Amino acid sequence: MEKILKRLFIILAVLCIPVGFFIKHEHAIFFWHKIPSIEAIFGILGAFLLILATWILTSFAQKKEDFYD
Amino acid sequence: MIDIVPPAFIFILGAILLPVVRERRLRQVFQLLIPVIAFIDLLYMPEGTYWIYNFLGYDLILGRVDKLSMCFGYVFVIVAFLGMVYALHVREVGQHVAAFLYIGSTLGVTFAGDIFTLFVFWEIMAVSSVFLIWYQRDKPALDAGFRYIMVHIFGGCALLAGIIIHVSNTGSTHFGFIEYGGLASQLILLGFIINAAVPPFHAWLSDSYPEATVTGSIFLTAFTTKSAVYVLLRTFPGVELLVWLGAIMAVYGVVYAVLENDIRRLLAYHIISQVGYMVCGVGLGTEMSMNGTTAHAFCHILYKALLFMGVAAVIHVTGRRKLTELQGRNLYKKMPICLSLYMIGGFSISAVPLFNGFISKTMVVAAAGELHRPIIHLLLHLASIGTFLHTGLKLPYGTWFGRVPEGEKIEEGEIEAKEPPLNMLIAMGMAAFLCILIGVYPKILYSILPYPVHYHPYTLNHIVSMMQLLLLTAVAFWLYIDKLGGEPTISVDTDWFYRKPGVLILWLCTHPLQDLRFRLQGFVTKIVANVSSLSKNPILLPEIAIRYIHLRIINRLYHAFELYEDKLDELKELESRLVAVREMRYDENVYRRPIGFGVLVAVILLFLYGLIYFIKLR
Repeated sequence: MEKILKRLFIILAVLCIPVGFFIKHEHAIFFWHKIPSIEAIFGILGAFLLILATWILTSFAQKKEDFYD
Repeated sequence: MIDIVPPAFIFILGAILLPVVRERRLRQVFQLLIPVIAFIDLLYMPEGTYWIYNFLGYDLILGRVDKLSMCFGYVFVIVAFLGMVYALHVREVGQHVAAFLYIGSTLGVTFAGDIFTLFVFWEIMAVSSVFLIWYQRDKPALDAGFRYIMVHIFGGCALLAGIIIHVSNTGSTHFGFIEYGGLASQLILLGFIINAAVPPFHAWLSDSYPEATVTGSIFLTAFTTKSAVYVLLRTFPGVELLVWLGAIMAVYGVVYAVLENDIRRLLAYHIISQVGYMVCGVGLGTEMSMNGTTAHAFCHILYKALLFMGVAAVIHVTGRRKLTELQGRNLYKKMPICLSLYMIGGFSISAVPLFNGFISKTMVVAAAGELHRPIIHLLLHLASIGTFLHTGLKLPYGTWFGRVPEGEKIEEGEIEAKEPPLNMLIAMGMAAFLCILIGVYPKILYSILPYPVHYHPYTLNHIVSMMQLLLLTAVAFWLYIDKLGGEPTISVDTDWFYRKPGVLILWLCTHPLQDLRFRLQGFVTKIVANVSSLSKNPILLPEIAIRYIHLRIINRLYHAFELYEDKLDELKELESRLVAVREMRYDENVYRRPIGFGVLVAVILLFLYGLIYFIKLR
């Protein structure tokens, strides 16, 4: 079951990118909406950005559990 | 014809009657019956303004019914029912009483037509909700509860001050749109955004909600912040400040959620993030954003309740609440139903198509797009990514799956996990059903929104875009899966500003300030005692003063010439005379003087007055 789910996830992740090339943004509001599969790029870049932000935050905001005791 | 009553009163009456019902089964029926009655009551409430009572010249309005208040009213009652089903096994009546009061006061806020009524219910809401934290009965809960109530008292004071200034400026108690600008509106807004947990006033939420009782946290997630969103929708639509606060809030919540090890605290940060969308939607102020905010509040209440129910069930059966204590224990084998239902909540909050978050969250994002706000649009997108990263992936992975940290050994049967009680699963099932129903058939929700909806979530482009966003977020999670596990730490937030200095302030109060108080008290007491003693006979004051000065001079002189021993008796004599004079009571006969003496004094005073007058005249 775990393997099936993993495979399904990989197939979907790979397939969703080319699909974006065939779908036109109905109302492109910002310039990036004209770039095919831009949301996929947002997804991966945004996740990296958040992980990076967290690592920076960790340096000063993460404390031992008894910090307030 | 059914006579309708204010829905708030149904719950408040329920809270009063609940302890009277002694038989457990009957009490459980009663617990479920109250939300059902309230829901029927809502169905029969026509639009308009009613239940108006005059008090001290002001109209108190308990029923201002329109599409906005009805939308919030419906979801509050629905989640009250779900929460009561979830909490059916709880034997402690006090918890249910607090929950009923909390729900009732929230409905009071929702249907209030004037700001005085709003304020009264607002405060009942704060006081009743704190008991859902305190009923946990451990030290962290007691401490967090105190901090919670202190913050809310501060917010309540700001709100009251704003209301008083507003009413004295405008003469109106109407609860509606308030022009932003000026002290009154700023104070009112401050009161509201504290309840909405807008940074930097948000730390009370992530501090207190995870410490609440297992069932109490379900109610807490639904009412305080969402009623704040409701009042913001009423009073401050279109305020630019809220757009930025909301967008920052949405990202802030997800960034902090990454650091969290406590599963309920992680979700608490996601409440902050999701309420950020709503606050931003209020600030955007268009019909679409207002609809989006209302819809998102509706959906959020359902899926957040479901998510909290899921993790609370884990805490209930395992007694553990930290990712580091749960990861690698393979709970998915022992709690598959609980996991499946949680995942429905996880997909809903992440706005996966066919789940309710998709039809509401995208509306707020689209509203930002419509207004050509690129930065806001991107920030909200970023928050979406973070939401899926943590609520949809990190939390379920760490809780039900996960890997055992290096060097840690797990003993067989370490956790006696099983599915939670049936009532918990039923409540979760109902919440999950509603999440899917609204996601699949959004018209149910769109038809009760305050404005006509011209938004179609299910276009091919929307679906593909969202799937791309989420799937590639999942790829990033997969790549960094080992880095995103829990750490046995806590994250310091803006509560540091009152928790750490708070200890210092407490020390200052109990040591130097207390000492100063005792000294001042002693000094003032001495003065009062002297004044009291001297006031017994004011006429003797000059004599007492002379005797006192005389005594002091003699004492000093004898000390200076080292004759103290010889003159001790004389000093004692002087002291005893002074004491005797001080003890003398006023006796009219002793001080009686002839009338002539009085006339002489009067003439002398008149002469002096005349002299001064003529000197000044010249």
